[in-house]
Amino acid sequence: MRYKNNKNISFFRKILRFMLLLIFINIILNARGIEIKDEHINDLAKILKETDKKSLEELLIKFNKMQNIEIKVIVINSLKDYVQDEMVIQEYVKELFNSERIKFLDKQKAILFFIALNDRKLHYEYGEQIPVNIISILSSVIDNKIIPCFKNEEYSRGIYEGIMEFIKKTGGRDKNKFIKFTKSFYIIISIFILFFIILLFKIKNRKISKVENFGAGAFGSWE
Amino acid sequence: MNFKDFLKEEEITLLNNMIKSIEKQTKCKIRIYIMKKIGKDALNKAREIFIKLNLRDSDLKNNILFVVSIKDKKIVIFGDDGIAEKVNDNFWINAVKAMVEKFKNNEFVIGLSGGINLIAEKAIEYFPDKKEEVIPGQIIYFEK
Repeated sequence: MRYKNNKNISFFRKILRFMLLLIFINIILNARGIEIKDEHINDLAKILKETDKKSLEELLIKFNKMQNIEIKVIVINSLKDYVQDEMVIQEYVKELFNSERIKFLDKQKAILFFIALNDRKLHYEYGEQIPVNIISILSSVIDNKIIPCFKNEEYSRGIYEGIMEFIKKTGGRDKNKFIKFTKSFYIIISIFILFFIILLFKIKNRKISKVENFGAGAFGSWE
Repeated sequence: MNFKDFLKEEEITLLNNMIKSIEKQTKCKIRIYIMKKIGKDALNKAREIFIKLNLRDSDLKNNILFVVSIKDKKIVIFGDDGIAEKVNDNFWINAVKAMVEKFKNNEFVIGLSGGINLIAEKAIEYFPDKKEEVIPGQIIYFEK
């Protein structure tokens, strides 16, 4: 009987271990449960309008090209939908940022902006090569633009305007690139104008030379 | 001076009549072209205008053009191959010089009629004709 009991206990232990293993696997899988598409905006809470999402996507692509900083935004309803235990958002975002599940061209120059709407939490992780001023702008945009909108439950507006504000502020800061752009733009335009003038002169000269050489005459000036 | 005010109505009539009476005696056509700016290459420009006014379309290639550029203060006398063969280069130069002298004193009509008379002598001499009436047409042109 005792032997039987021991056998049962051992069997239950095995089942328990197996269940624990399943739970553990489940936790791990759930922790990695967010399906992240290779897009700049992953709106899993479906809070953003399709048009806003598209324009933000385009803006972030442009921003990446201009500033060489890749930003990805993930919006979910609640972290609890993906994590079973009480995982804090900071840990989760950090793990996600460092994992291979989210793809960045260069993680050192990337920002992951994570919003859990129903949890009323947001957090961002960034690569080591992101300049301090960019982070301070992001922080100020969160405080002054995004959070006030979120407090009024204007989530879509908060995300859209927040990102717009951030791009506007950081885009304006990189004056060197802007100067480089305008300089090269003016150089190209000047070359084009010069080329056009030369072309005009050549056409004019060609026109004159096309006139058959005939007749004779003289000219004078009464100045 | 506005280049269109360069000649008064009566002066235009005077020059028109003068040229018409010359053309009764010669196979040459004489035309006057008044323009704002002729530029540096005045002779070539006159050649272009000559073609534009269809003066090249004559069998004898004997038509003559006077170009007056008001802003550049330049005068050009240009003749087609037919008449150019008959006179030497000095003839054109002297005719222009005579006109310039009058133009310097703002005697534009006198200058023009003087130049026309000089040319007319050669035109009548080398391409004589006797017509009752000349074919009607524009004689003095203003650049548009």
